[in-house]
Amino acid sequence: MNPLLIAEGLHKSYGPTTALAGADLVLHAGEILSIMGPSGSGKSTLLHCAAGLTSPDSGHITYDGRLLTEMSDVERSALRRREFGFVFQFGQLVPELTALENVALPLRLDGIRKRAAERRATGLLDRLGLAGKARSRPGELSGGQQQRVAVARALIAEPKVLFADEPTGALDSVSGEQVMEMLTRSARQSGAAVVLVTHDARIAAYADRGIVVRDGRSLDRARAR
Amino acid sequence: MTRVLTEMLLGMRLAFAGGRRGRTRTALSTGGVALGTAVLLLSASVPVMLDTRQARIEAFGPFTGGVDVPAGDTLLVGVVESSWHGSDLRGLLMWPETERAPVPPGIPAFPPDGRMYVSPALREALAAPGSDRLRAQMPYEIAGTIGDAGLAGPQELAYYAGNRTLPDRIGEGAYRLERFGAYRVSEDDDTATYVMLGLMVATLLLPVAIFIGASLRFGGDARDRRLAAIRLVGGDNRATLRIAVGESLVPTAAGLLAGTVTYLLVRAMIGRLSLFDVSVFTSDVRPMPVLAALSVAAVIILAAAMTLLGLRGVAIEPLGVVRRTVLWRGRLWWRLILPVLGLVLMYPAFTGGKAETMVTIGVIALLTGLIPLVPYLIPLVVGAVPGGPVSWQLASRQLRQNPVASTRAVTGIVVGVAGVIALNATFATVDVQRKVHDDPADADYSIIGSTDPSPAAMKRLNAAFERVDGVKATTTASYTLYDPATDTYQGFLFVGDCEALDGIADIGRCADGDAFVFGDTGRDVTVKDGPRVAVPAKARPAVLTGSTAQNVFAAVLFTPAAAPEGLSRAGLDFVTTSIRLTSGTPAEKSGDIRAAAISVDPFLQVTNLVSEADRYGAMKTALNIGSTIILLLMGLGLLLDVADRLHDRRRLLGVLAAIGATRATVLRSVMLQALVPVVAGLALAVATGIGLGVVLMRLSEVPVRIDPVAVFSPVAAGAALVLICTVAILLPAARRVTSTEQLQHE
Amino acid sequence: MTIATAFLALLESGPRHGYDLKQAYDQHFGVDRPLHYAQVYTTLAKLLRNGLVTVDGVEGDGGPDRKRYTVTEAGVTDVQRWLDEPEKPQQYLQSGLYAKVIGALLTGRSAAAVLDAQRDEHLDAMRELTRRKMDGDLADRLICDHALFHLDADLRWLEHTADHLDELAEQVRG
Repeated sequence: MNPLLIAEGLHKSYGPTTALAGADLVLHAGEILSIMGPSGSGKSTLLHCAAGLTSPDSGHITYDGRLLTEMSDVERSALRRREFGFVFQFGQLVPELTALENVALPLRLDGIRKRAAERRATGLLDRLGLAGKARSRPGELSGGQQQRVAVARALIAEPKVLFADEPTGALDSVSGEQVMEMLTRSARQSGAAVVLVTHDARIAAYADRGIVVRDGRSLDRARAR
Repeated sequence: MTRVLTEMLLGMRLAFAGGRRGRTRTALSTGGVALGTAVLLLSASVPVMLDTRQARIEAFGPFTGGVDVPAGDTLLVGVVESSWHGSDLRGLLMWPETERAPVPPGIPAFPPDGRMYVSPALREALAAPGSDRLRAQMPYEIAGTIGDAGLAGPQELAYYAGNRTLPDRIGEGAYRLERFGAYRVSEDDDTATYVMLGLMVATLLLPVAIFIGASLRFGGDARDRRLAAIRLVGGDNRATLRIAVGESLVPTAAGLLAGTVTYLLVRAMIGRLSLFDVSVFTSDVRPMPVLAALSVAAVIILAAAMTLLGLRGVAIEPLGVVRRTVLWRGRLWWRLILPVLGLVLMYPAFTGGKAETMVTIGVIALLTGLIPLVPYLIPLVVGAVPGGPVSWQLASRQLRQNPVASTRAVTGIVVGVAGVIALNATFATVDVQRKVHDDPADADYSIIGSTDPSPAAMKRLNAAFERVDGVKATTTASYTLYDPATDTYQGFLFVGDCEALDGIADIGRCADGDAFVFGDTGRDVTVKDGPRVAVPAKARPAVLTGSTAQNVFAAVLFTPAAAPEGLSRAGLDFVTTSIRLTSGTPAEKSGDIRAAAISVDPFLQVTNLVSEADRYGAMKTALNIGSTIILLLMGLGLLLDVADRLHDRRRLLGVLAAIGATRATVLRSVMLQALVPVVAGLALAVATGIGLGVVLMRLSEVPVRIDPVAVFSPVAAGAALVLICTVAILLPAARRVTSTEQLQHE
Repeated sequence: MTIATAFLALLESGPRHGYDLKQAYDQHFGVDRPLHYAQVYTTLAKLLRNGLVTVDGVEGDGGPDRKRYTVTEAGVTDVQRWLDEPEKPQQYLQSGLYAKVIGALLTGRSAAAVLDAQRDEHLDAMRELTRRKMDGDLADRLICDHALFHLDADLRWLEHTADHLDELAEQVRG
């Protein structure tokens, strides 16, 4: 089976700081892949590059046979709306919108009518145990609930890839596990592949497979073997 | 297309979200837009208003253009010009020569002798207490009310009276009129007033525009974060712009609506107002369609432009907001384009030209040019004091780094204060000017029109006026002298009692029977259309004073006992009664004096040589109200700006507190950051304001004089406002901002 | 903890048959290793002998399955003593992992490769435990968590050691 997403030889520097020095990544459809590494190793940068949020200085990223590195902002935005979902440590919800509106946002940006979008969002929120919280604003939710809203939003457009960068980084271990379980379960149900960046092995253990990033280079033991 | 719409709608949805800060932002920009819209719509209505008013005035104008109309189906009319409490009072006496004579617009029929139609405003004034002196000016009974067609505005004081003595007065104030509106008089343009109005609108509108911009930027950081979150879920760059514009559309639309409502309210009330001695009918106030459309477009474009301008230098990326550190280059040349252009356009004001449009555009350009100039000053001011305590160090770094942001709220104050200073200084000078005579030797009033030069008649005139308290009246009869040899004008022959002669010349001691001579008269003089008069040998030399002396080469002055025979009416130039006030002010006495004059003869012309009313009084009131609103608005903007910047930097300030900076240090630093731009800006405002004031004074043809009170009261108001606002925000915020608990956020 | 102590603790809540005891034990204590019946009855016999339990009733034919056991006063004291005594933290000073690292360094082989291989092994184990945990009940989860936390600790040690390998090599060879 052809990989869904391939990143090869990624280099990226921020001024004098080198974040990536030849990192690779291969993601198959439907699999959950963890990227581990100590802080500052470049694992988040690898995710950002792979998702087209940042452009690498050199290297190629192929998504579904297309070169991500050569797409325009409009094309990449469309990709983010339709094919990708994101769950970050925090700050990705629009604080002014309700949970329901936040979840429906990607659909609405894609031109789907409000009522249809919100119906789908309601269903997803129910599945993630947030039925009573649809009208709450992010500020009124606990950290774990916020992350579940973020998971719902990431999955609403039935993406092919869900990018999660330290999704439990701001949570206590119990809510962290809840979020991870819901994330992995929902991703498997909808057949989305997951790229999971974490420094925590217990979180990485939710993945099917893991790679380690150290000093901007990735180690994929499974491929090396 | 649906996506664009969805994005705009989403932006509009976001305008209603965002908690207290978001609502404040929406409410403020709505208010700003409303104010701007109302002012713009009112300005757009001025041309229509003036046109319809002019058309009205022309339609009922009883003028013939100086042509003697032959008798026919004609109306005999006499115009009585007077004033009451500073407002013009227009009287028209009439007597039809046939039944088919033209009836003036606004009244159903000719008023019978001794009766009059009055305007609603005059009816009201007559009913008000203390109107006896007004009543005395019009010894007629009220027969009815003049309709709108006969009035220039609802507040106009006017009466149409029937007077059957008119046939006897043809050529002496009464004349024949074939129809009304036959001759059109154009109101003379007043360059100074025009430019002042332009400056006033600019002074009021520019700060409003700046305020709209500032209020739309309020809470910009939260907006940017929001947009970044939307970028993450797949909004592209253009989508974020559309969402931001959609968001600003809500206060713009609400503001346009509120502004239109305000405009309609003002319009409905406008009939009750009288500005610049001009009142207008509500029906006459309607915006020129083109200008109204332009106003609305201007507001929308302004709001959208301000939003997009606020996003300039900010890259909203899915991963967050990247503020491109725009290096402050502080280039001067482009900042000078507008001010220099303004100065060039204002040049005609100094050469005495009358290019009012050009000068007005110049004034507005200069005022607008201040906006980019203010940030330029900041690094200069800050650079002048390199050392100083930690608080200054912190403040100066911040100021240097981003002068534009530090001055954003101040530019409005600078523009407003500069305009107010210019207008205030001019008004103050005009005011001083108004209180002095053209020539100190002149009387306060001069009344002409009597045709009886007999000493008895002159005495009667004096007595009539002296019935008014605090009035000293003297009367002279003057005859024109000419040189029969060359047939050229020479001067005057005056007849009057010692007191009267003393009022027009330095005569020394005087008794009835004396005569005086001025200039080279020769042995005798010739009265135009009159006899030759020998200059008495005993005539003593005298020197004419005041404006009487102007253009007189020779004069002979006789007391009544010395007056030569055969003068009587022949060659009579004027019988002039000069009135000097021994107590009271012109504003208090004018009514009585005019009433006295009308009781003698309605056609007596009362000329006040000192002003009774303040020509710019209404404008001053408008300026005071306007500038108060503007300064309050600016204060509000400043308050928000300081709050916003505190909010943005609360973490940094928390860190400062955490590493041991005392609250006082942090507060002083924030305080300095607010004050330095204000001080620099106000200095610029004073300079510009005085400059503009000089231009206005030149245009108003008053001597250039800078009144410190007029200049510094707006400055003091502006500075006090800034202090109050800063302190009002800082004191409550002090505890919050300097607490290290802020570090726990995020 | 011994099987005997576990039985005493189970009996403290009420008398039980031998079969019930085995079921309860398997559920709460014997996650990976269910008891054999033989173990159940030898343990019960020993407890009876020591007077920590008594038989309080026999039903039916009186076979071993039909006896109901009750904890005695002495048995309750035993449970109390067991709970009062804290578990000695394991010292982990004799670590086979550490030995392998030193061995690799001493023989000039790649200690990093040893650590990498171990990390893969650990992560595989953790993924397996996580899968079990997601399918299990709370008891399963806590048991799995216990193991996961230990494996996580090992992994952290692996990373930490990996960061100090050069230094360690110098010391070992020096």
